[in-house]
Amino acid sequence: MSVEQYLKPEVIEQISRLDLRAQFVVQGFLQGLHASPFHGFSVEFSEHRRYATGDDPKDIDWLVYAKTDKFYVKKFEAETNITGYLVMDLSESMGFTYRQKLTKFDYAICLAAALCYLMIHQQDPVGLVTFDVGIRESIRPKSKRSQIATILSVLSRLKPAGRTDIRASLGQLVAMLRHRSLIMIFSDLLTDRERLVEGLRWLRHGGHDVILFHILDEAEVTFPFDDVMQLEDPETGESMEVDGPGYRDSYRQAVEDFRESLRKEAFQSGVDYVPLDTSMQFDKALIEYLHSRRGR
Amino acid sequence: MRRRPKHQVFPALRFVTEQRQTNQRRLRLRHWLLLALRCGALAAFASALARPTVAAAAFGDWIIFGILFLAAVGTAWLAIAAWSAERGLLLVGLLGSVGLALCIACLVMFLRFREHGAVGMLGGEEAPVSAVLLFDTSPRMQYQEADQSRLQVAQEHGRWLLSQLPDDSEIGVLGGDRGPASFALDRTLALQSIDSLQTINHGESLPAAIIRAHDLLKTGRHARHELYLFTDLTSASWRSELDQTLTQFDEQEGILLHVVDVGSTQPRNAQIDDISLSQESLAKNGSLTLRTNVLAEGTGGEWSVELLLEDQDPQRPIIVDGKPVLPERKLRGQQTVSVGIDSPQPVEFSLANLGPGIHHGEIRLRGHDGLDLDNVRYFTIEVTDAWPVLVAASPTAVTSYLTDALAPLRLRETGEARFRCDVVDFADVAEIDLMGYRAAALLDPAPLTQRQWRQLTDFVQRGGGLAIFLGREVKDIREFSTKAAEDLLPGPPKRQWSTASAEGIFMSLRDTSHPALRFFQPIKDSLAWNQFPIYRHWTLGQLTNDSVIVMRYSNDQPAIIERVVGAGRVLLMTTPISDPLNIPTRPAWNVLPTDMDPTFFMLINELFEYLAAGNRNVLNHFVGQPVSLTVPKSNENERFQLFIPSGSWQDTRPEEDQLTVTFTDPLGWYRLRSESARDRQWGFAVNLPANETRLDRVDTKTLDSWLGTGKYHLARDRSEINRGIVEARIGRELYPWLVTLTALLLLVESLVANRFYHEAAQ
Repeated sequence: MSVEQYLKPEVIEQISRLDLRAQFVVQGFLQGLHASPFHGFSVEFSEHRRYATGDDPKDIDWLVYAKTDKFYVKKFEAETNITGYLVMDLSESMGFTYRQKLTKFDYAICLAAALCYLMIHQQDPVGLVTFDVGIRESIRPKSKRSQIATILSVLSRLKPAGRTDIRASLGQLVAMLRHRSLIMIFSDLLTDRERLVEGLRWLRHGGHDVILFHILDEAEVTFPFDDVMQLEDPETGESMEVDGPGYRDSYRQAVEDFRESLRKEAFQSGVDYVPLDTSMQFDKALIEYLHSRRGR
Repeated sequence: MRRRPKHQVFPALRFVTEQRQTNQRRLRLRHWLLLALRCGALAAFASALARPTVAAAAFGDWIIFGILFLAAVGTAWLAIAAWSAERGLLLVGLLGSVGLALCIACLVMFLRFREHGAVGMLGGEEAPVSAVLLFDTSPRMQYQEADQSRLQVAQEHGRWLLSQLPDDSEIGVLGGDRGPASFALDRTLALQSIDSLQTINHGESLPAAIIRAHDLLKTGRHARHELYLFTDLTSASWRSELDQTLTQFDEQEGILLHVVDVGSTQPRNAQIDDISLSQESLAKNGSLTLRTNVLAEGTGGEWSVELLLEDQDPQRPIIVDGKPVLPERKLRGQQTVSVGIDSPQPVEFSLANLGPGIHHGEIRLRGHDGLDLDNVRYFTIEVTDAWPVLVAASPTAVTSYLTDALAPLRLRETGEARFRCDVVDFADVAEIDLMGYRAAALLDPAPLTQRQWRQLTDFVQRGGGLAIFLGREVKDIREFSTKAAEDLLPGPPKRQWSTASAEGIFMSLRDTSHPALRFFQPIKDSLAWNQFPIYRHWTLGQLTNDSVIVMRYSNDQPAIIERVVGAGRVLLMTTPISDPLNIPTRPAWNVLPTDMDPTFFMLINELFEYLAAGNRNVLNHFVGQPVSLTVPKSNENERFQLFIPSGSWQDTRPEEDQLTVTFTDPLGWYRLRSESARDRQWGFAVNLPANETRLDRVDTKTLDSWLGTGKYHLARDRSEINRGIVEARIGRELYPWLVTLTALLLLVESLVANRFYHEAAQ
């Protein structure tokens, strides 16, 4: 998938809409994210945009209306100093797709790109970190508009491979970070749960805000196999013959239990946990998540 | 041919793997559960085939143990399953704790079983035992039904049981005779012991006998101890020492107790109640009243009640051909009474015109019933010549108040007076042999000489009774405080108390517990003491320790005081009864003897009867009481023969005029006769207390509360005895319970297997 694909018009439009609806998205999302560790930001007028259904009528600029006879709402821009890190899991399992359309990694990139665009757009510096058994690539956070292209170009040439050690990778990341940051982790989390939890706690202990995007393939959630299957783990090479229908319910229950346990652990650690799968439209999922944050 | 599975890369294989591991673990657990259920079913079935038994008394405990054990196993299994299914530590911990507690409870119960020997009772019915056959030999066991006494029935059961006991058993046979308890040397001797059993009128109480039997069993050499109690289950048998027996039972749980009920479930018996004599000793030509009740249990009807009295025959009893020949008895009264069930019917007889001497008689029901023993009550009375009383008085004293009260003229003329009074002046007392009198009275005494005090003291110490009525002649109280006077008087006179009030004070009869006043008990509230005012009396100094205040005035000062001196008694009254009432210049101290009112008459008679009869023998006793007779010997070598109601006699010699009969189990008359002078006779009667022959029975509920529910086996016939023995000896079989358990386990196994395989198939 090319860089342009990640920023195709409908995606951009979605993101733009996010941008345009900054009053309740940016404030709700980013302010909510870093309001607590970083005090003292101010909100300055940024630009006007056309009124759209759903906008708060209170935000309509009546002076502009008097001049142009059109409804415009004022867009505000948060002046922040938050630094974001997109932390991408590069293990081989992230390259899996059952329907051969969008791998978990692609899905993660889309999501990361959208968030990158959002942060760059409000002039927050964004960096990139990829890891498997350790940190592989990293791009220093910048708030230039070219940063998104840089990040996407790096991501586009990466190919998921090998095993993963999320605890070691997060440990390295904690050591690498100098300031309190917003860490956005994109991973299928198919690793040892205890080690993952330990890594997350390190991050939280370092004072960082963490959003954990748990991305699974659609098949990994629904277990759609209707026949006897020879399933193989791409990372370990372990293989197992499985009766699909016989295992479906218990498998789904196991996945749900796993997500539930992570949700509980994340809640206790102060981490935002966002379970996703590739069948979900990432923009809707993202907006839904931002809405949920706004509601808090 | 099996289709080759489709290959698919699947990164989330770990969830499948975990699920498979969980499934495999669950499957393994299920297999273990099924295996355990099948093994349990097989074990239960195998145990059932072995026909295990447990002690009948511990059967309930074993069932509880089984339920606890199954609950422990089930809870432990649930705890393992919960742990395996990762159900949460709280649930696993809770189940584990419950399972552990149940296991500990099972262990504790098992250890208790071991401690009490309730484990390992498989078979062994014919193993030798240490057994005690305890027979209730109370007089109630004489009750006859179907021509057999209860004791005979018990003996029959005992003989049969003896033949049923395993070889080499050691057997003890006990009755209520308080003798040393021991095991018989062999079965023949045990059989002889059973055959020789007889009822005992004053035997050991049943609870005490049970304790004795327990003590004997504790010395038994065999592991199994059995106690067989043959009793009629009448409640009179269980009256005493019950609590102690219960304690013993609690401690002796290892002893198998069989209660064999040989009693009658519907006893029919009439009986004569205890006899109440108006007096045991009466003066010649006096009269006597005998009162009793006729009672009936289980049956009513008309009964003829007879009073029989022995003739006075100085030649009898006499031993002829080795057998005592007793005086003839003659019917002296007869009444027919209609008795209802549990409604006593009173009967009263009078006796009069009896010659001096000892008289033996009986009141009996004519005819027979189940228990003849209580159809007769014996009595003994003594008729004496009028009791001689010496009355010593100052010349100014009026002695007739006393002498007329003791021996009214009308009775003196007919010879029925109970007392014979000789009146003398104080000055003449020293010249008189006081030992010829039963009692003496000092009316308003002036100060006595030391010799007179000592003479009176000697008289009292030898059993005489002395009454002193203090009055105006006590002019110098120091004369009554001498050493000789102090030896006799309850207390020295201190000063006179007087009142100018016309009402005065009066005698107060608040307490009638003193023997001299018991006569007044039923009539004390109807006596008008305040009609006889007292204006003056002496108060006393410090009373001696052996003095007792018999009666007080209404001002709470002592009126009559008793002191026991040697074998006799002294009664001191602090106001006179000889003060003339008709001297205008000298007011009387009191008006007690006015017109010989019955109140004064009764008081004087009771006081002097108490004094005169002070050391006489008690003639009517209950069984088992040791009886002491005062028998003055005419010479040192005088020997006596004691005739016992059972028909035997023995030679005896009293020590210091006292003869004590300690063995009074036979009912009837005991006669003592001098060998040298046959007209010198004494005697007494012995009866069984009426409540000892009541046949009301103990119900099972009460017996349970005494012996403990399930701690004994109650049987009435041989089949029940046999069943009880089998149950107690080899215990109760667990076979039906184990078969039920097997079926239950197979059912559960089937249900569990169906569910498991059904799920697997799905």
